[in-house]
Amino acid sequence: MNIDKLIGVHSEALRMRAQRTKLIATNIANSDTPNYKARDIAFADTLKDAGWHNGSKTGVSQAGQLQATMNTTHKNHMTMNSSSTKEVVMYRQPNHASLDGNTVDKDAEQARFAENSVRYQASLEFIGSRIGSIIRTLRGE
Amino acid sequence: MQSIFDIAGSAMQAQSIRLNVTASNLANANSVAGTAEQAYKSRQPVFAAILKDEIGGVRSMGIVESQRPPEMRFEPGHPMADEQGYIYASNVDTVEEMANMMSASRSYQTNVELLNTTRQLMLQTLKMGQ
Repeated sequence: MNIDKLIGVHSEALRMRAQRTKLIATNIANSDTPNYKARDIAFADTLKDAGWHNGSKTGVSQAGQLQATMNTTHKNHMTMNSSSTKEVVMYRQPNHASLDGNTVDKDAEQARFAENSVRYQASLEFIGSRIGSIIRTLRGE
Repeated sequence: MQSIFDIAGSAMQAQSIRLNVTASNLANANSVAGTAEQAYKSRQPVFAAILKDEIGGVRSMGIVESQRPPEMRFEPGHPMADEQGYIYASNVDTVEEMANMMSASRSYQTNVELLNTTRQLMLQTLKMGQ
């Protein structure tokens, strides 16, 4: 029995939600910064990259297949992110142009932040109930 | 998730600088001086994104002074009037500053809410599986 299989997609979803919370927080923090471009995670692409399709794991992650390795020969060289799930971050399409080049819509970002935190809580609940059922099974109740 | 505290914190800091500068501008809206150089000039902070690991907060890069010419008023009886009888009032636009103040305080509030929500999420994460 694999514990990862029991928890399923929720652990990856939780990580993605945490990352998205951070991105939206950055967008809101920079809502008055000239030339700042709002960013968000492309959810479907991220899920596909993590190797999930229609609610089941399809096996090898696409990102894992595409990712090339990079040699570092100096301590200041950058290394590539080796985690299997890499969020696909894209710039948001602004609804209207602004004079200072900022593309953050503060109200929309606030709404997305609320939605994202509810979904984060949902993932937490799913994981919590799975862990609860595993513990109940182990106890034989 | 911890870095959200830094991000929202940096935004609160930046917005409070903006609020501070606005307060200074409003306080000096009616200041007068004897020369155009000495007249109070409206100040504005310049914000820039902190880009570290693709994600970061905001910081105030510095404060710039408005280049709008100060208002010249003919008041020969004023003790600070120059030889021609003019005094130089500040170039602060009170309406603009009020709008700035509202925007800064709203942004500050938004970031406080952000902090509260994140704190709750983290507390719930700690309780996971209990």
